Amino acid sequence: MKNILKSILAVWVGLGLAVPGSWAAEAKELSLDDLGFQADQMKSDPAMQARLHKRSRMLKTHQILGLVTAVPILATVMTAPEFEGGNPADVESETDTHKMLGIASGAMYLTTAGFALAAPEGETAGRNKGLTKLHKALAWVHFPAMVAAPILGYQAYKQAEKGESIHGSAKYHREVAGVAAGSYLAAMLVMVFNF
Amino acid sequence: MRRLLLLSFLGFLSVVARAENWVLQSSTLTYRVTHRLHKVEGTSRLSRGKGLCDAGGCQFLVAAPVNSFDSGDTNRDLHMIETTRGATFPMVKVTVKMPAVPAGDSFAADLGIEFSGQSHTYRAVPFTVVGRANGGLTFKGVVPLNVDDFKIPKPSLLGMAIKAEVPIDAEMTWAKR
Repeated sequence: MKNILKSILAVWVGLGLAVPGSWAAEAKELSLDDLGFQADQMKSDPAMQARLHKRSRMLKTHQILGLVTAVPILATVMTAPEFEGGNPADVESETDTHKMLGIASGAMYLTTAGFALAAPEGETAGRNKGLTKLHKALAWVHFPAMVAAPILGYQAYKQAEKGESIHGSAKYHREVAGVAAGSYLAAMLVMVFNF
Repeated sequence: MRRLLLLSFLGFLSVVARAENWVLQSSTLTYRVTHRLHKVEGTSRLSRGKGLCDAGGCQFLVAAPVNSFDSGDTNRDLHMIETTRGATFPMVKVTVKMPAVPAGDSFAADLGIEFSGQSHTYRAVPFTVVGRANGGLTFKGVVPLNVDDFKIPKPSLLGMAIKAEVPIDAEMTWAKR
């Protein structure tokens, strides 16, 4: 009889621990482990946090420099000289201003781009979506245009210096520069309203 | 002897009868960020939850990975994870204790939230029951989350910070197991 009572007591203790709602289980608190998440989903990753922090800082700098760079880019477009039929002295003066602003724009543009390119990727590397995708796609337009525009501008300047009419690919300097400025401003506006 | 075994069996049944397990079947959590220039929403459908009810009351636990919230833009989602320290503290955890499973059309619950390495309790958050199909429970409500409660720095755009209130629309369907 004693043994039977002991057995029953053992069963009750076992049930008490095993059955939710019993006296022993009431003390049990639910934890994340009860929810069935994968271990890597719950794992803290301070290295990734540091990478994201660095990424955020670099992209913030990219954003600020990008806004500042828009000023010399617009000024460069607005100071473009009229080679055809212009007063040579005025053209020379305008060209100098335009050239200096162009150099400043190019240097700032490359610095701005450098911060975006050097920023560490997050865990969604290569899977861009939303306006970020559009912002990055526009870089494929303004980057080649920003490289080509000063080259074409230099050619146009040299041709004008020789007294020649602007010809060849140089005559597209204005259009290429316009595309560069336009796509750059579009890329900037996309990100201004997307943070 | 037989009587003893019968009593023991009945006792076991009573223990099992008062235990009730609940599982989160589906859920939608949507945060809403407000800035003077625009509004942003991010949604997660990957939360998981469990509930245990017994004579002493009910406890529920719901958790969602911070990186499961999708606002439709990669850069913004990564920035959200960075700002909320989501890589260091990858889960948002909500615990609720109630005397019983809600029986009426609405109920209020104290929500203990662990987020971004901080804890905060929102008292008497109202929820509306929208369905009880198959013995389950579907309800919705708005969690009045405030980023200041979790020491999360407010991101800014053009020198203007977002509002500290980032309400979370929650809709959940629980099933009894």
